[in-house]
Amino acid sequence: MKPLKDEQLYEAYQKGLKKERKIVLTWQVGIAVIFFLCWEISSRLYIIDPLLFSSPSKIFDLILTRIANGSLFVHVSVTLFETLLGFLIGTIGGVLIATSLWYSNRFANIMDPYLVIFNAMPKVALGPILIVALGPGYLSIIAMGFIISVIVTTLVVYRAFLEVDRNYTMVLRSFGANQSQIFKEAIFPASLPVMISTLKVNVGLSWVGVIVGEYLVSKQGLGYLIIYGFQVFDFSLVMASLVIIAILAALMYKGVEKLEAWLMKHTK
Amino acid sequence: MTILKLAGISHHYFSKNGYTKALEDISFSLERGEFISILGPSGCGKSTILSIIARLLQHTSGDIFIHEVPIKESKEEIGYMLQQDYLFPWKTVLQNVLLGPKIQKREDEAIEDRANVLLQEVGLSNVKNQYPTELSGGMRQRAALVRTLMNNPEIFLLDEPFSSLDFQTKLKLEDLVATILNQYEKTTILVTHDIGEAIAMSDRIIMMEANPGRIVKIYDVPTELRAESPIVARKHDAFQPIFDTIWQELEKKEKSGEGI
Ligand SMILES: Nc1ncnc2c1ncn2[C@@H]1O[C@H](COP(=O)(O)OP(=O)(O)OP(=O)(O)O)[C@@H](O)[C@H]1O
Ligand SMILES: [Mg+2]
Repeated sequence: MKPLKDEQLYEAYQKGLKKERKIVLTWQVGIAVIFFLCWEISSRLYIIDPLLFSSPSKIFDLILTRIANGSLFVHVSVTLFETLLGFLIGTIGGVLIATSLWYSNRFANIMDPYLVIFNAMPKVALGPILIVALGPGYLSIIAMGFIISVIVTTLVVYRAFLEVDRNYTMVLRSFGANQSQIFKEAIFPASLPVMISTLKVNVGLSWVGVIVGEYLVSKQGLGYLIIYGFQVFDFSLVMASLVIIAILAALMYKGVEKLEAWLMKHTK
Repeated sequence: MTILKLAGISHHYFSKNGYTKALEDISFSLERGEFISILGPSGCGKSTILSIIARLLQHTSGDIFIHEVPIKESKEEIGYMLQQDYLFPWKTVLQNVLLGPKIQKREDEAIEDRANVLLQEVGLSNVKNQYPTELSGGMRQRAALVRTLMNNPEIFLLDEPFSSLDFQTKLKLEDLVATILNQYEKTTILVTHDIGEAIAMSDRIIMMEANPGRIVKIYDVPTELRAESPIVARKHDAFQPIFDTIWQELEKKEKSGEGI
């Protein structure tokens, strides 16, 4: 009879978990529903100015019509494309720079003050210069997404390279390994978890860079829709864009999280 | 035949704030197939000596010869097992063991067979596809031992390979190492804190002191102990007298304020 008792205990434990999950989910949905309801009602009753704060139903309508006539798709795809590219180039670029710093101690020492300055600099302030240099188009916006994440990635990854236990290097050197072999067999794999965790940070940073970039120059994209809506006093459009950005950014973040889990499992 | 000869080796560690003299005037030599132990307090430079012989550190003065060739010009393979096992956690046991051949770009079937034979010998063939984190401390040490043996080094350096193990595992592993090294006729330097281990395993014992690291005395282990396996040697009649001699010498150092 004893094994059955263990089973029962386990079942009870699982039931407890399930119940807890249900409570949490109920609250989560509840908060969202109440928030949107309050917003809708106070907008309809003119407690808040519907012209400025719009209302969930109007925003929903707007999104649906924009999806139906296809005018939303262009903006979403442009912004997504820019963000992904800025994110990828920023991350890969950062890892590559960190690698070159690791290869040459002298190079790292020489670059040190420049990295500090670049890192401390609020990168979005470079916007106008990027536009002058690269023209008012995709290039500037992608560069913005890139520049905002590349230095942080460089510093974090370089630090991780340096913190790899020296003794792994010793083991390899006792076999006569050269610098590239040491990098490939010890430094890179040991720092992989850090590199993967910078992915998540960089997704957020790239969104900031791209939206600010679109504020400044573009004629397309979600950032552009926000600025445009603001200028023509169409706050439903502003709100709709914000909602879409929130959804996309969250999806991308979740995607990177999935990728992280997968990488962690398959690069062990 | 003298395989390794150190003559007046000193080593300084330099840093921005000054320097540490880790070794002073270290001289000894090793015959082929000989097993010696280095015994001494923490910080007396034991690991430093091994790192210098393994060519991971450049000594600041003195000469080292391997087969009468200056160490810098010698191509002799030297196996170094570090103070901890330092198995790469992202590689399986087998991949860890094949690391040396991989670095030297001579991975082939014969090498892989050799790895399998050695893993079999130390009783790890059933876990060779697992990751080091899944192994016990003793298993990890054995894997590290095989990794060091893979390149078939002439000289074998062991830095406290058994210090993190429980007593029983340690005794078993001592026997295993002694057997394997005997079988492959390796010349070995073992660093240890354990007087009994030094006596049970070696032909000679180098005793060191710290600040700066110097050789105090070199003891010859009685011939009747050398022939025995470590476990048997520990129970041998000749074991206790030499143990006491070394113990007293260490005590004397401690009393004179040298701090063991
Ligand atoms: N990388 C280093 N930089 C500066 N000083 C060092 C370095 N490595 C060791 N030392 C110093 O050199 C001396 C000898 O160190 P070593 O590691 O060789 O001692 P050890 O005898 O192996 O000690 P233990 O038994 O604790 O392992 C110590 O005083 C130590 O502080
Ligand atoms: Mg040491």
